[in-house]
Amino acid sequence: MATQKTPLSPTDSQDGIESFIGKRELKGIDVETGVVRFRIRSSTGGGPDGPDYTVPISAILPGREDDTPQFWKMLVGAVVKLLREHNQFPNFIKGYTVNVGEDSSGDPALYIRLGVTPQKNYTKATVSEWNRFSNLLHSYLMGLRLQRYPYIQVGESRGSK
Amino acid sequence: MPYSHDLLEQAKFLVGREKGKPKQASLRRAISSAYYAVFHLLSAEAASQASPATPAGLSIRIQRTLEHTAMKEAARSFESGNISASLKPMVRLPLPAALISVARSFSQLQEERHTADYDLSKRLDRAQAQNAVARADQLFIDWMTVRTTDEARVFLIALLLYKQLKR
Repeated sequence: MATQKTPLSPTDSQDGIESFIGKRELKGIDVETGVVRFRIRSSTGGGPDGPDYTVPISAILPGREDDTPQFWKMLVGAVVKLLREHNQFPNFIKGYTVNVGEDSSGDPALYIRLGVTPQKNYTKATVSEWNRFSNLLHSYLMGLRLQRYPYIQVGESRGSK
Repeated sequence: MPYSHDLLEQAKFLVGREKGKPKQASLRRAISSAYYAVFHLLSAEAASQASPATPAGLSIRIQRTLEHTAMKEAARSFESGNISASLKPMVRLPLPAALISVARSFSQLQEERHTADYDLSKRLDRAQAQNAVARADQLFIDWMTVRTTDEARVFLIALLLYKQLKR
């Protein structure tokens, strides 16, 4: 089966998900506690907003309404932010991209590409550092019990974020 | 030298074959060879563990029954610690870090191999290929450190019989 990936871009909808009681808006993701925060906004715009509520990150199921590119981009962003705060995000990562899709077996997948500065050749020590970090990121994501399997790839930076 | 080691050596050669701009064919074959190196390493170990030394050829027949997708599912279950109920009593949790690393790298490399062999719309670069080859190299090292543990033996059986043991 061909791998299908959906690129994420800043133009992805920030408007939230329409439901019968209003518009559900993704407010944030706390990767330390493993929860996603939503808020229901009045569908008419005039009524009061509902309170925030949370669901576990592991409850975001592939193919369901919350399984949006926006969610996955925000999730990876939250993990990166946390790693940066703990000085665990290395300088050699110049950017990253996030895609979702199905892997070669047809299973739901999350693809993260870490961009590094292009060189003619890379030393063994350099590549070991890449792998050390991608393993760290992978372990962290696995610990969140995601319903999409994370694939982490290192590649030459092409002006990614 | 075993076939798996030859494949790994070939992957290392291909990734550095061109001194300047690498050819896509070299990078793609390097990634593919890196995956097949680990596939043959683990499938040969699984078949060898599951079959007697004689008659000659029996082990090879068993090795040919291994399926890529089932192996990946087995590897993922070990990586996450979500091991099938029938095997769980035979392993000690947490699993050895080196075995988790083997399981993770196997899944990652299988996906990269698929992209390298079939997705020609995507341009590969040297960093990506070198990373895949280094990952395979590390898998060989990790495997040597755990291959005689009970957990590794159960892992090999899971690679071989994942679908049947899941029932």
